[in-house]
Amino acid sequence: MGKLGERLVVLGLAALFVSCTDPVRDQQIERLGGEDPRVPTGPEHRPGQPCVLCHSDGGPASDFKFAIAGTIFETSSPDSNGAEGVKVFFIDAASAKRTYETNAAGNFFIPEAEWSDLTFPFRVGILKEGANNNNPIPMTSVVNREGSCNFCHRPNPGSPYAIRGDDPRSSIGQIFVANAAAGAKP
Amino acid sequence: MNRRRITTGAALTTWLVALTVVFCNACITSVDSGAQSPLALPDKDQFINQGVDAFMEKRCGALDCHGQIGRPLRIYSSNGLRMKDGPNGARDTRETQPEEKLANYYSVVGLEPEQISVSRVSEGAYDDFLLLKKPLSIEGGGVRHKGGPVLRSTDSGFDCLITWISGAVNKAKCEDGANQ
Repeated sequence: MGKLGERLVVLGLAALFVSCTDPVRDQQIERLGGEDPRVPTGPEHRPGQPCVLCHSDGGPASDFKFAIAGTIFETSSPDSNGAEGVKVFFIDAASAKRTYETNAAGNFFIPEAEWSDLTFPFRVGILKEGANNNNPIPMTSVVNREGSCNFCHRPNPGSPYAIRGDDPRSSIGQIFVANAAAGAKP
Repeated sequence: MNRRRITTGAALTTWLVALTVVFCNACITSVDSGAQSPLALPDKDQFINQGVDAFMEKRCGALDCHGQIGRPLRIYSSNGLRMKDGPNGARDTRETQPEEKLANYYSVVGLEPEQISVSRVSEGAYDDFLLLKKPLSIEGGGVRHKGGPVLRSTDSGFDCLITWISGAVNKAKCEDGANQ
């Protein structure tokens, strides 16, 4: 094979790898915008955004993959802070259970390595200490196939974390705990 | 020279006539086949008011399933995808609206209109009908479903769909299926 042939093979392989990226996901990630310069990249970054979009196979954060991740806010207000110390309970279709807790940004995440055999669908409940007589509040539906809670529960319009070009028809709104004591659905 | 022109002209005319005949036949066949195969779709009122829509909303219409723009078999619901925005561009928080239920009906019967029609005539018997095959596991007689198996053929939800298709929906089964 001549030099020209070798170059063509290399170019062909390069084109093949480029075409393996997912343009839909690339577009979704681009819409998330850049990092907040005040928050270092880490457990407290990008609250309200669909974490697993990047933290999964083929994503830009695939070196730290998540099984499930999301954000819980104090209130339903667009300028609400994240709710720290909220317990999040999970039970999957194989009856496996896990409990995690939100950090200072309201974020929580389950590394894929810690729940590699997660079986969809799964159920979720949350508990804020002192609220709802200390009873967990269950999510009314199951999660069928999406590991990012914020995929469906996106920050409410006007939030600094709102996703560019977001469609409110496709979001059930941010998860919040403030009215939990009054029995409102989070 | 003149003879060549005549030959070319005759050939062109022959081709034009042949093409016209083929074109007209295609049109006639198309019109005839439509007229001879009216679709016997399942009942719209039963779907909307007798629990089938509520079952589909709850079990299929989550935002991470068929309540998502871009997915086939789009299902609208109060807890999932909305058809319209609410006031000031916020989310519409009303109950599922009549136009959303109607869109759900057309989404379901439009999945495979000919097959659903056949299933209706055969009172629920099906060979390769996606609405009834997709929810089942492959071992249970289903086909590959991106969301995995979500029903068994013994579940109330499956009976809900079968009874609706066969013409006498079992509302209790639909309600039970929605709550499972």
